[in-house]
Amino acid sequence: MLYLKNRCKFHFVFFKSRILSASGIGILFGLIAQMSIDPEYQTPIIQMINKLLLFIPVGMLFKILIEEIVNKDQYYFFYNQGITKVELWITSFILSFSIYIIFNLILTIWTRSLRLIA
Amino acid sequence: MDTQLEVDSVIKLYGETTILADVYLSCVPGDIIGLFGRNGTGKSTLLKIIFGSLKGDRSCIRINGKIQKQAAYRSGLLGFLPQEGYLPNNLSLAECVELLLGKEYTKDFFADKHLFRIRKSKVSEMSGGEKRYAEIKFILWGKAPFILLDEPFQGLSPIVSESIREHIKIASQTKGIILTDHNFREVHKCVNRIMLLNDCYLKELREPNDLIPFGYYENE
Repeated sequence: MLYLKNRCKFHFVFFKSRILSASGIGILFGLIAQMSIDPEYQTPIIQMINKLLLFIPVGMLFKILIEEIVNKDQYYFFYNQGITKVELWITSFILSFSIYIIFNLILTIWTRSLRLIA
Repeated sequence: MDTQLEVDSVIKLYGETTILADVYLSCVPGDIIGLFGRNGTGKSTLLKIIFGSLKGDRSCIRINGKIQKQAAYRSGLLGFLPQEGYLPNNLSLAECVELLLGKEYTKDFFADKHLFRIRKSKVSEMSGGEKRYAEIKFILWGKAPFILLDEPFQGLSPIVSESIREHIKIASQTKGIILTDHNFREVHKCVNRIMLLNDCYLKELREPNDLIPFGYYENE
């Protein structure tokens, strides 16, 4: 149990150190994609945020891909704990996708409750 | 079962150039093996193949008699210090201690003249030498019984190098250590076995003077 808890800590360290820049990259991708679909910005803001959040896992994939080319040595911190980079990639992708699902649920509940109040 | 690291039949080619040919090496706790060789002879490549972060064209790694079918680092029995820094910049040194060694080691780890002052610093705020010293200490204090150090003395002052040699000697009481560094004078001060990579082959030398025909200590 302690072994598993310790491993989880390392996975979280990897995720935490990348999520901010991955979100930045993802939102940038999302904005570019949104602008190409809706050049006159007519999509309601909530829907737009929702769509942008979907790009966070995409940003995470892109960030990992960049690091794979530019900075391979950073993985030794995790290798020394017996953790492979594929394991780190999978947990990071799952966690960033979970963020999208959680925010998506919050936004859905929020907009529905606003409609109910109105 | 004996505690032993054995590396057998390592072959590595880059393109059509052979870097390592049929390399054999064994290491037991108490060994401090100095790996010598000119630039590009494959010292770092060999350490990475042993650790499992690089695939050899052929290699067989046995730890405590068990053949490692997957990357050897997955066993948790190997610790590796790469040439470049490996500590994440966003963590503080205290957080690194907690993660890598456990909270109970914090007091002992920082009872050190080189680290006490910077115990609360982020890794990104530390100097190159401070970072290197902390990284080496983490590897040597870890649980792995076999340690691979790639250029541990790189960028360190003579005083810090002396402390590193002390840590290596203490760690070797329970661990087997293989290290390589271009600063061969520092390496000679702490090793008890000398190996030379020359023309793709690894050979064991009896004493430092055996290195003279290979260009070491030429001007002394």
